[in-house]
Amino acid sequence: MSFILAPAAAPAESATAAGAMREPCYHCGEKEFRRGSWTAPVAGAPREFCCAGCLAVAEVLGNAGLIALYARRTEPAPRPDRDAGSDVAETAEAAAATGLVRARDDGTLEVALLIDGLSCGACGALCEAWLAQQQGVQHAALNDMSRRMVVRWAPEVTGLPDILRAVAALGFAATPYDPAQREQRAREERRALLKRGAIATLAMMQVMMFAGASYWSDDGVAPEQQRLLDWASMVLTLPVLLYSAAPFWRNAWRDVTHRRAGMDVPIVLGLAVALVASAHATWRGTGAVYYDSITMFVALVLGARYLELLARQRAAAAIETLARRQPDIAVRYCRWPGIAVETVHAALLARDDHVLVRPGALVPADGEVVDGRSAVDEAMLTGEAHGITRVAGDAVLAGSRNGEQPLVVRVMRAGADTRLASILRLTERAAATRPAITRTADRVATWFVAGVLTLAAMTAIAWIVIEPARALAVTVAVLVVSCPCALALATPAAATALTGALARNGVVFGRGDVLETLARVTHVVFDKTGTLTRGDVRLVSMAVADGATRDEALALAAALESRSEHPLARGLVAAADGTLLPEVGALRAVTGQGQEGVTARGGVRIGTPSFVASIAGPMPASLTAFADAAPAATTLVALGGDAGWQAIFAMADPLREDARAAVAALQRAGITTMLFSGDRPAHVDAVAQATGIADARAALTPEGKRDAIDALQRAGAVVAMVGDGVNDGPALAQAQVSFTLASGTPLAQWTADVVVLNDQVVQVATTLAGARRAMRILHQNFAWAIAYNLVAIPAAAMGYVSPLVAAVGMAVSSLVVVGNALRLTNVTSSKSVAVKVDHAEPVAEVAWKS
Amino acid sequence: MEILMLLIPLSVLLVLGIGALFWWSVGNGQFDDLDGPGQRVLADDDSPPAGPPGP
Repeated sequence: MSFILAPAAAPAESATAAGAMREPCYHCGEKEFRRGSWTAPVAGAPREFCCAGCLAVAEVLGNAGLIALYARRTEPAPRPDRDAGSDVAETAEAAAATGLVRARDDGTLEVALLIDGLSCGACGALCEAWLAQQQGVQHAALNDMSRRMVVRWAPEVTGLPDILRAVAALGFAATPYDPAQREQRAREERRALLKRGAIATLAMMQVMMFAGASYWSDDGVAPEQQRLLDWASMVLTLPVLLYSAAPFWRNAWRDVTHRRAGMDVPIVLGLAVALVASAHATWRGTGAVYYDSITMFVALVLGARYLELLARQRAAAAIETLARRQPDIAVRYCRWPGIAVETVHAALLARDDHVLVRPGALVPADGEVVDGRSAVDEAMLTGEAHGITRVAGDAVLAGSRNGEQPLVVRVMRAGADTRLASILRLTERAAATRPAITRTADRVATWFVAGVLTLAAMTAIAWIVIEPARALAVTVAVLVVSCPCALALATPAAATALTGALARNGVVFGRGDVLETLARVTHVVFDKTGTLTRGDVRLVSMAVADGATRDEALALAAALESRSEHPLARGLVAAADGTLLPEVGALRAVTGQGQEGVTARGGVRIGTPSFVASIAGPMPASLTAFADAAPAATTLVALGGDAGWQAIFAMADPLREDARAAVAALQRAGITTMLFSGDRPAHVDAVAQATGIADARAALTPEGKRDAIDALQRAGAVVAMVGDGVNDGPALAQAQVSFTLASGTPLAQWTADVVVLNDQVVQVATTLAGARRAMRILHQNFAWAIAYNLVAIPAAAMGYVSPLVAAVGMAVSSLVVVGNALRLTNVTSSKSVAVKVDHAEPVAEVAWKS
Repeated sequence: MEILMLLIPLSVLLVLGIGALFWWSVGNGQFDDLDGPGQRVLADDDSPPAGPPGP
C-alpha cells in the first residue's frame, strides 16, 4: 500500500472519473467546494477545482494530452479573486530582469524558488516529482529545510510562468528566491511559531491547574465545581486547538487530500478524538476529559518545532551573511573619464563600465582598479581579515569592502557572474541535493505513520470488544504516543545544523549528499603545491655575514630584485614589504645567474652563490655553515658585492601554518594520510617529513595520482582527495570525496564536493570529524526512536499508558532527538590554527623544523 | 467555596488577557532581538543611532 499519491500512476483511474463529470467543479463535478482555491491551466486557461486531488488528476490529464475531454464543453469562468496563478507572468518577468533566472552552459535556464507552505519532506517529494514531470523541466530538487527548490528547464519547451503555475496548482506558493524577502519570511515564521507556542503554554499551565484540583484533592471536587472547571478548561483548550495547533490541521489536511500519511496525521487524529470525547463528557457532565493532555501535547510539540526552526534559521544565517554582501547600488560614471556619475542598480552594470567605490562602501562588481589606492577588506570572500592595498591594475571582488580612499573600478564581471554570486549559487546547489539518509528517513516516516494508523484502528477494535469504556482512551494514547520525529524532524535538523556550523568555518559543500561518504573516509590524500604548501615561493630563513644586519640585507636584496619577475625575486620583494629600499643604480639582469647593480658602496650582486662569489670572494664560514645545513627543498640566493658578502637567503614554498595540525588531527582520528605530488622527491620528502605524513609519493603524473587512488580504493579504502583542482582533476574525480582550497583556483574549477573558502587545510579534518559526529548523532536518534516506539506503542495499545502520559512521552521524545541533533551546531575546529602571516619574519623555524 | 464560581471564570479571563498581551508583544517585535536592547542601554554613546536613509 502506498500512501504517496504518485502522479504518474493517476491517469488510468482518472480517465473514467473525468468522463462522468457534469457539475460545477471543472473536473469531478463536486458542487460543494472545499476550503482553499484550486486552479490550474487546462486547454490554455486556468480552471477551478473543488480539491487538490481533482486538480492533480486534471493536470496529469493535461500533460498526457487528454485535454480534448475538457475542450468539448463550455467551461465556467474562474473566480478571478481566487486565481492562484494570476501574477506569474509579472513574477517571471521580474525574475528574469533581476538576474534570478540564470542561463546554463547547456542552454537550459535555472532558477531558485522559495516554496511557501511546505512543512514535511513528503510534501517536498511530491512537489519535486510533480515539477520533474512537467514538460521541459529537466531538474527539480528541493531543500526542504530552507524550502528552496532549484528548477532547471529548457526555454524552448516551457517557461518560468508555467513552472510557477504548476507549483501554485499543487497548493503551494512559489517565488523566485531573493535573500531580503527570505529574511522577512524567516522573521514572520519565527514570530508566528512563538505566538502559537506561547498561547499553548499559557493555556497548558492554567488547564493543568484546573486538572490538578481533581488529581490532588482527597475527597474529590464538588460536582458543580468540577463541571465549572471542565468548562473553563474547554474554553482555554479551544484557542490552543484552533490557533496554536492550526499548522497541524493544515498539514494533515494537505496530506490527506494528497493521500499521503505525513507525521501530522496521527497527531491531528489524536487531538480530534480527545477533543470530541472531552467535549461530549463536559456537555453531559460525566466521563473523562483530556484537556490537560491536549494542551500539554500541543505546547511541547510546538516547543520542539521552535527549537528546530531556530537551528534551521541559524544555519541559513551563515550563508545569508554572504548574500547580504551583494550590494544593490552602484555609482557609475556616465562617460569615463568624465566626472559625472549616476546611481544605478548593481544588476544593471555591464562589462567595461566604470564605477566609483566610495570609502567604506562595498564593491558592486568584480573588476580592475583603474584609479586610486586603498586597502580593500576581502574577509568575507577569502577569510583574510586585514585590508589588502589595491592600486591601479589590481583586481577587486564584488562584496569586498573598500577602506579609506575612493577607488575607480572598471567592471569585469557583474551581476550573476561575480565570484560572490558563484559562491552563493554553489551553496544553493549543495543545499538542493539532500543527503540520502534524509530521503530514506522521509520514506520510512511515511510507512511508520501508516503503520501507526493501522495499529490504532486495530487497537480500537480490540478494546471495543474487550472493554468498551477504555477503548477511546487507549486509542488516543496509541495515536499520541507514537513519535516519528526522529525520522521526519531530527534528521534534516542534524544535516542542516552541520552545514551551518561548517559554513561558519568557511567550508561549503558543493554537493549535499556527501555527508555519509565523508563520515566513512579512511584515507586522505593531499596534493603538495598549493595544498599543504602555500603555492608561492617565500623567504624561509636567512643568515647574514658579520657587519651586515637583517633589515639592510633584505632591503638591498629587494631593491636589486625589484624589477625582476622571477618567482624567487618576487618572494624576496614580498619579504621586504614595508621597508625603505636603498637606491640602486645600473640594474642589470644576468640570465641564469641573478641581478647586479651599483650602490654607494660599490657594485652588488644577488643570485647564485658562485655569481656573487666572483666579485665578493669566497663565502665566509658562517654563511657556508648555513648553506650546508639548509634543507634540500630550499633554493639558496646569495647577496654580496665589492664590499664583501652580505647574506644568504633560503627560499622555499613554505608549508601552510596549519598543515601539520591538519595531518595530526586526521591521524588522531585514525585516518591514513598520504601525499601525492608531481614534484621532485627531495621537495616532497621534506614536506612529508615536516607534516608527519608517512606515505609520500613523488613525481606522479595526474594520471599516476588517479591510478594510485584507484589502487587504494580497490583495497577497500574510502579516499578523500585534497587538491587545488588545477592539475589533479583526474585524482579529484577518482576519489570518493574531493576537497579544494578556494584560493588561487579559478571558480570554474570548483568541481569539488567540498570547498574550503578560507584556505585553512585544517578544515579538512574539521569537516571529516563533523560528518562522523553527524552520522553518530543520526544513528543515536534512530536507535532512540526505534527503542522508544517499540516500548511505548505496545504499552499504549495494551492500555498501560494514559493519554496524559502519552502526550508527555511523545513530546519529550521529540525534544530529545531534536536537542541531540542540535548539538551539531557547535562543530568548531577545536584544533584550528590562528593563521597569522607576517612576511618580514622568517617562517623557517616554524615550518621546517621537524 | 461559592467564591470559586467567580474565581475560576476570572482566572480564565486573566489567562486570555495575558495571552492577548503576549500575542501583541510578539507581533510588535518585542521578542525579535533579546540581546540588542540590553546592550544598547549599556553603550556609552547616548546619541540616537542613525536611522534608515530618508526617502
